[in-house]
Amino acid sequence: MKQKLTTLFLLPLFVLLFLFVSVPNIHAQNLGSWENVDDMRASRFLPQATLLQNGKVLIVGNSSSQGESVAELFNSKTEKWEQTSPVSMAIQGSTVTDLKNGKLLIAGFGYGKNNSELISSEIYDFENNSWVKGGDMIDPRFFHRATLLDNGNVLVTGGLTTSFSILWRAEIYKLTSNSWSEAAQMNSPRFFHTATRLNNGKVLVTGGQINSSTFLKSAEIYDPLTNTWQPTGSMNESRFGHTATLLTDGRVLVTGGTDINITSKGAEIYNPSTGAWSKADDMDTKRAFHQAVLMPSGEVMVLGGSSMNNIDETIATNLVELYSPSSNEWKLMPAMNNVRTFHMAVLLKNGDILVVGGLDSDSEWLKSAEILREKSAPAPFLDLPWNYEGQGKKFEDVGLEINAYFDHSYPLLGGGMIEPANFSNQITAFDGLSDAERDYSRHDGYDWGAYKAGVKNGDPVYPAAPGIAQYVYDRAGGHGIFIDHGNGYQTRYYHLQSTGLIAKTPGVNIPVDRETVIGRVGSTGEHTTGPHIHFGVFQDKNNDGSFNDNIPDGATDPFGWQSADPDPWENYSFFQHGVQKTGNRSYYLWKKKIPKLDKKLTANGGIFEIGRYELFLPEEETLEGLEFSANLFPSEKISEIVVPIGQIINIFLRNPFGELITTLVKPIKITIDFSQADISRFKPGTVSIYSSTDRKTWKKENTLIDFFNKNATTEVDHLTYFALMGERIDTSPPTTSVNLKGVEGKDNWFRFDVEFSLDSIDNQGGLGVEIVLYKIEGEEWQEYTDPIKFSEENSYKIDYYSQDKDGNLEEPKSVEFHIDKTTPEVKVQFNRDKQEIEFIGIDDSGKVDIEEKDFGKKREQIIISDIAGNELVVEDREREKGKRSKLNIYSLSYNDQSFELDKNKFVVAYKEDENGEIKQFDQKLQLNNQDKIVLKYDPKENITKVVEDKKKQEYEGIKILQIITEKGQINYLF
Amino acid sequence: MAKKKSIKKNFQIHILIGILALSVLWLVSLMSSSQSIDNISKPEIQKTITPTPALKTYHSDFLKLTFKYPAEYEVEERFNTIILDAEFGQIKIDKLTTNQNNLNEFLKVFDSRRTMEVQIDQRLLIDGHDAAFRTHVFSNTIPSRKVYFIFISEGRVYAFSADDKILYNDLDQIARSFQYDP
Repeated sequence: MKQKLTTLFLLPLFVLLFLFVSVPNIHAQNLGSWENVDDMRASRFLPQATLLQNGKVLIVGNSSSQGESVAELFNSKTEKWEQTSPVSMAIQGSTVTDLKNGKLLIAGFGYGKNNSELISSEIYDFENNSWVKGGDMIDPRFFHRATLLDNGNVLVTGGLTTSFSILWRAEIYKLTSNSWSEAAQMNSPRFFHTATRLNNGKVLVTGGQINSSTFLKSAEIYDPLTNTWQPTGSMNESRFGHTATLLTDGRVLVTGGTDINITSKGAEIYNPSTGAWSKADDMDTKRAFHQAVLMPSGEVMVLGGSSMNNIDETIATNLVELYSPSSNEWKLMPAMNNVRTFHMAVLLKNGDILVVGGLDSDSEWLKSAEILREKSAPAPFLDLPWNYEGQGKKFEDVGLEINAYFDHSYPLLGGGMIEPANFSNQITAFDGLSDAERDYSRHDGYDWGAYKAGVKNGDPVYPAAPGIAQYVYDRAGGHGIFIDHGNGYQTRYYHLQSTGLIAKTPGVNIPVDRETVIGRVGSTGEHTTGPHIHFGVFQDKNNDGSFNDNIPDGATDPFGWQSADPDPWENYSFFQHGVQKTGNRSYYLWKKKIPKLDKKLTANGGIFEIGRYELFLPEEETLEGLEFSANLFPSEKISEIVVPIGQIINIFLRNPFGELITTLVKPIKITIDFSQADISRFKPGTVSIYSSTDRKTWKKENTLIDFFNKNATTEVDHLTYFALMGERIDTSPPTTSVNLKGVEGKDNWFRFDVEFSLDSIDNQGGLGVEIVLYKIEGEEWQEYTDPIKFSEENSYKIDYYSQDKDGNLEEPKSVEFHIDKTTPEVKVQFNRDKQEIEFIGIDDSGKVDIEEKDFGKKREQIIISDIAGNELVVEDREREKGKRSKLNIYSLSYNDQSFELDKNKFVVAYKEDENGEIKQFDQKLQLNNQDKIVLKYDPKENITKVVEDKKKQEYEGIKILQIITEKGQINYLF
Repeated sequence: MAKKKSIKKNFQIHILIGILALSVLWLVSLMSSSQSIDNISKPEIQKTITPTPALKTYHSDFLKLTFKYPAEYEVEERFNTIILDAEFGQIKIDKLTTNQNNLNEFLKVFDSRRTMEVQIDQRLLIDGHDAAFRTHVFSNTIPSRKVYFIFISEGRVYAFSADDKILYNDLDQIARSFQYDP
């Protein structure tokens, strides 16, 4: 119960602590480089730039030399300039004060539209992007200063009147009544002075110019409660155009400024408690009319300005310096791209610094703007320091088999420091979870051991990345090797065995690569609990080449920070040896992925894998959680030439409101593994990642192909469909020809077995035939491999086609052939028209040819052949023609098989009268000289008398006797 | 003589009646005594039905475990940890890796790295594996926790923990339903 109460009591404080230190979580040492952004719409001299609560920056005032006033908004997410409602006054030298109620007060002087009226204040409502006229100042002025008081009112001090008189007077803007009232007069007139609200609610005013030749070092304090001014300690130097910054400890840092002839590089600090000034370290550069920005780390950055060696020589500068109050030191930071003075700088919500406008060295008004960005996350460069792959394991198998984690609350072990009591007995791991069951508190690296990670006693230890190694020994860690990787990071390996070390003399530098054995797994050092590797990563945060002065503040978690919550370590502020330090930002530094990275994007980004796709979303892709999802689609042809290699991926990002995001703040990197694909079928240089919004129209992206690792990578700032594609080398199908081998008659009629074979050839330059397929009618498609023999009498239809190795399909073709092994038969009958015996071929094909060969002496051959070439040869040895026709089928020969028939005779007697009427029509078949069947037609009675085997019958009409051969026999019918 | 016979006869009848009466009385007393026994041995039972909350099964291929949990929890798997989130708190399941090859040695090292009081330490078997459930009380502001440690084999331990007493019953149920799925 007591513990619960304590927790309840302390919890809000912790929350406040996190809020205070975590947002924004930027450190000046993380700032990297300047980048130009789009120009403002107008050139501006001494503009006012104010960061709004929605993250945009309002720029007001002093646009170009024409005096036309335009306000504009800088959208820090899109980094584009947006128009805002025109200000109704042409503001010169004005001030902008955030009233903390969604509105800004612009105070100065200007004229309404068309110079209609003098306007001295205006209120901007940034939520509605609207402007309204404010109350009239008592003394419209410019180059004055405005300070928000604790009661919400605004104190305006000094400045120049419209008639260029320097003002003593101060006035107060009352929020509740939107009106101005006179405040107590300062002890000295001033302009280009500074006015700073102190932590006690009073306002410190320093320096400024009193007349054309007098610059002030005096300072005075305004008490809003009593409406009085009191002199306080004077600065050490006269300053005009200087800066004053309230430090986190309540003191005020003043920098630079100019006297009549000389620009100062001096800095001094005012202590409100004592009212006294102390000299601070000099800046590296003289500067006045520069800008000073208080960084969340408590340091102060000064930017640009101009220096004046004499009244005729004014030089603008682009130099930037950073002051550390705790160490009282200045450090040079990356210089701006442009020299500037009378410009404006503002700290953005994401930690970047925006600088706009000003004058260059030629006093030209500038419309340019630039941003100082944080250093980008380092490229992953580490691997696990043992040969897990040699054990047949993968990174994802062993990387998370962690004995002891890096404790993000807080990794102070290496610095020998104790963490706050409420954070002992628990750790906060990279997954964002605070846990009392995982090991162990204050740990500043990772431990891997034998059982699950496979790190056994005596195993070789390898560098996580190439670098320069040095030996160390300490009581707790035992034998250790440190490796400087040359990129601002160092890795440390402890508890190594005393034998097998790459070096045993401290201070000796040894180049190492991934193959070098730097030591053996052991358990040297105090308090080890068995052989294991302790692995730590440290960053040289102050870039001085030494890592030892960044212990523990340089401690880095190589797994990054995989949570949407703020990283406690990054935001942890502490004192070490009297110097204030902060923790470190951790990035994912492993070259390989761990499985199941959270689908919710964190501020630290992450690597996501789906199928052959790897997506690297950079840190601070969003400042809030985004939901990531992806789907894979089967590949589909885009055109005949450009085709996908593998599946198409569709990537979704949704904000916390479920809205789809298609444009990204920072590019994401997409890597596609094509190790399983054959890209030899694509034209060299054409393989690329393509993107599409609709899967119909595809756009080629700039792609880096790594042929060694067999992957393709692109960076895009848009979504949603992506695929690896290339132009096919082979776009023509193969050609297949068919071959029928057999004894062919005509038109693919065969009278014997047929051998069916296919031969397929790809086009020249093609990749070759992949498969040949055929289908016998009524059956399924099957692969053709060898010739096929057809033996059955039948008609065959076979379809066939081929596909080449690039999937080009031939248009299917077909062939028909017939096998007819049966010889034809013949029908012999008397043809009344021709008045002779005729032969009619009978064959299943329906196609027969008949040839008669007369050999004389009544012998002839009648050859009946079918389309397959089968032949029946009828040998006739007693052929007579005419009114008395006679035929003797001596033999029948079917192809090569002959049958000699019993003696037979077919005799026909036929007469007609002159009118064509039948007078006689007798037909007779004799077998072995015996009448088998006789037909006699009686024309008078129109009947045919039939005597068959001596049996008589009569039939009406004319009956035709037909002799039909069948397999070497003769039959008859009528 | 007839009178004697009659008396004798009457007497016999009376005896018979008496026997009958006694029998009836005996029977009645038997019944009532058994009823009273029933009343003692079988008190009237009031049955109440307590609805059993539905249990779901969770399986993780990566963490190689299965367990049952009450349906009102939302489950999230994050790297080496499973978080069961309910309205009134969280239960966590950690996959731990250790250099130790038995539960006792593991707990020895675990305890040496913390400043805490182990108020309860009981050993049991869960899914055939050595396990311990303990209550840890810390000297700092970390709330006391009930933790089940299940030692699987060399180097592998699962920790089921909850820091709110209201979750302890659920923790018991969840931890004891654990199954190792290698």
